[in-house]
Amino acid sequence: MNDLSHSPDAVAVKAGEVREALARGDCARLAAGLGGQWPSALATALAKARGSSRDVAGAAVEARAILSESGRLGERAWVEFGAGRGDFAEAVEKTRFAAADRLGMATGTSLRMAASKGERSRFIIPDLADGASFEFHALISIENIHGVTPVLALRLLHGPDPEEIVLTFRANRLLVGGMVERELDWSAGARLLSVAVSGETLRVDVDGVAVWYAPRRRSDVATGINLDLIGVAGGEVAVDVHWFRLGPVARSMLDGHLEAAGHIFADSLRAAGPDLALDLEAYRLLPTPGRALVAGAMTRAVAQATAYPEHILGQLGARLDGGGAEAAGEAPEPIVRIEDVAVEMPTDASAKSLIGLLRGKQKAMLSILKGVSFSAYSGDIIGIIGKNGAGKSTLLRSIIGSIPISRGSIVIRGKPVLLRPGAGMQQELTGRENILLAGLYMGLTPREVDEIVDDVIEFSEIGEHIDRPYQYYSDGMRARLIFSLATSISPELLMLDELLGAGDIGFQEKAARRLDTFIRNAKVVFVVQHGTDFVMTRCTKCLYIKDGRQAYFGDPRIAVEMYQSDI
Amino acid sequence: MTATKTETRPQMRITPAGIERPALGIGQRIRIALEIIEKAYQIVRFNFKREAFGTWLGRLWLVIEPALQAGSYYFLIKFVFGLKGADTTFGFFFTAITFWRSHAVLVSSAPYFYLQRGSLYVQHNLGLGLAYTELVLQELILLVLRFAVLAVFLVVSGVSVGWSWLAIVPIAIVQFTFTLALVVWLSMAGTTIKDLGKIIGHVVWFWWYMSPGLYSAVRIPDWARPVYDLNPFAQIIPSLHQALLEGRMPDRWWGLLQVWAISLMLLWLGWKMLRQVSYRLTRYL
Repeated sequence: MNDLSHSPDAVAVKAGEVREALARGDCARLAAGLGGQWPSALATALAKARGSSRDVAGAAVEARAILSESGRLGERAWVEFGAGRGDFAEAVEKTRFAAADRLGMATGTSLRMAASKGERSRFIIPDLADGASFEFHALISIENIHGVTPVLALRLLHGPDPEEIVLTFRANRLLVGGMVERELDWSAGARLLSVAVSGETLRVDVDGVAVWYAPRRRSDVATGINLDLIGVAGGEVAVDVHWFRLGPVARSMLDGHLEAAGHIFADSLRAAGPDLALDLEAYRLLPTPGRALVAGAMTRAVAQATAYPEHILGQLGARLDGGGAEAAGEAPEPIVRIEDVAVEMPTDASAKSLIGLLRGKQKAMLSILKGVSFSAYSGDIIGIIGKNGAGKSTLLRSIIGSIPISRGSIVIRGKPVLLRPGAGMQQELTGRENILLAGLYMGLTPREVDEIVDDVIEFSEIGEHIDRPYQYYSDGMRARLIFSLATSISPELLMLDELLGAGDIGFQEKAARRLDTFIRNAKVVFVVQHGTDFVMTRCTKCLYIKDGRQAYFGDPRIAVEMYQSDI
Repeated sequence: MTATKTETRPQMRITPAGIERPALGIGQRIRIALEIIEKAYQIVRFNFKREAFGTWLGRLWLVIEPALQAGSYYFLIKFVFGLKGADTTFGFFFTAITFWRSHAVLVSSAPYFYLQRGSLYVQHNLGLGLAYTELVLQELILLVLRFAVLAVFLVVSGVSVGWSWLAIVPIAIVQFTFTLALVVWLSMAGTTIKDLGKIIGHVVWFWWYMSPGLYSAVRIPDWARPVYDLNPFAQIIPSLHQALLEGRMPDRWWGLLQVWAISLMLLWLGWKMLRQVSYRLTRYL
């Protein structure tokens, strides 16, 4: 093992290579290069399971053996069936293989749950021997008879309290706590899902590769586990559980390091993202001699607050066979970086006081937004969806600084411009005069506005009405004028608040094309819309705000699906 | 599409403490100040047009309205009341009223400034510098128009135009500096204490009668003069009378200088305070 005193650039390059390898799912090659064998063997075993369903039972036995030899299984299991360790029919009796609408059944080689649209099948383990610390492995495959991918959810029970949704599988994605998503293609065959709950931390592995390691959203002890299959439109779907093993967490020395690392990260990065999972995977792949370095690096990192994962990844990168240093490249800077932003507003006008204001103290505050964190990069069109009053417009106004935040930070590179229907427009002035006035409000000089006036008038299709007072314009004309103006000036950061819905269909199509051109100029656009069509078809990312909290940020399809399932 | 690229601004960081922007050089500050003045002028131009919207005479009302007011005063004082004496002429009254009106309008509206104008500027991320510039520029233009009307009426009523009239410029600067300092403080206070908006009109009204606009300052008894002279308009209004009506340079330069210096200091402190609290003030908009 090389020491950790590389130049920072070299370390960053190597770290980039490792991240790429991990992102490609190339862990087997990485592990082989490091001397670790079991991930590679597990990958081979699972590949067999994907060959045909008849091989799944054999693959389950093989996977279990590999995990057992690698110390990944505890000494005893509380519940286990499949992989030659227990009968499925007996498992149905032991657990509550109940179904609200459809019953599950033992097929001989698996536990099968089935559901059609609107139905739910539920596999329940109501009592855990130790709800504070447990781990289970499940080899699962989905039979999507009609090409439909169902919704599969793993929930923890907390007595009479609401269930805690830990994992949701939908649309070939894995959502962890609604906060982060990973690609997960069920069509590839059976997947080995491993979930470990240890105190306040949650670890999730898919096919032996860590995809999540972070604090749980709840810290109390779980009393049971649910696995729900929810039917969706398109036909019946079935899920087979080929092997299931529930028991105490296997605490190897390596796991101890991992948990320690996880806790350290968890404290500093409350909303850990996929990168953390990659970092932890890198730790896990370290050979034994590297563990001391991990511990040392962690200690130094805590003391110096340095990015020690880069050093670890750099070490791993040095062991990759082949591969060029050019793979990593330089990471782009976000145009907007929002970290843990919260907004609070006074609930009572009588609670205001100048002294309180000067002291920075306020009473009786109502939380409007909480825990919003994401980054937007050049070229992003970010849709913001949520119910009325969810906090969408508040977020936009916070980004331009017109509503003060009470926590977190917002970093912006560029001048943000927020456009809402009628914003800045004066009823008594003509359309032409309003172009000049709104242009001034957007930060242009009168000369710069003169240069774009003709283009704005032409694109907005206002025609001869441009010299009529604005108050006589229809809503559609107003929206067209504002949109045309906004997309003529090319601000670095444009925020459109309910501005795309107006206008006839022809103009909306034209506006969408213009927005494409606008985006090609490498700008960032935020779009608040009640409708989801624009989000689904044009947005690169989507933020779903639910009750003032960030419910999801990422793939627009998933965001819209979550939104629609909530309304 | 004809795209005009706006200048890429450097990083801006928003935290609960406020908005941090990179420091600007002197050249940039001057350029931005000139831009603000240009923009403020355009916005004021549109404000005047909006106010005249739907009227037959349009923006001519900017001159007609003070002319009607001056005419009314002239008729009442000269023909109805037939007042006699140096401090009871039309010129004496209307000179004070012309300049006082700018002060009264700005101060009376100051508590509502943030709610009525500031929110628009904050929403567009323009900065309050432009908002205050617009406010003052608009009133300054109106003052120039009102002064033109005053000048015509003074000449008609027999007052001669002389070099001393140039003293109006520094006197107006002193008055506007003082007024702006008050506006900045009152606009901050009025945002959180809305009751101030209800009180300020009465205070301004009382202030007018405590100023030598309707009577000569010589009528104030000597024992009250030290207190009376604390009123900045005890320096400003007599100076206006001396320059315009008596045809001589004001003899209260020292007093005016003191008012200006204190106003500048108040303005500077107010602006510093405004920069500190403006971000949190937006919570009340």
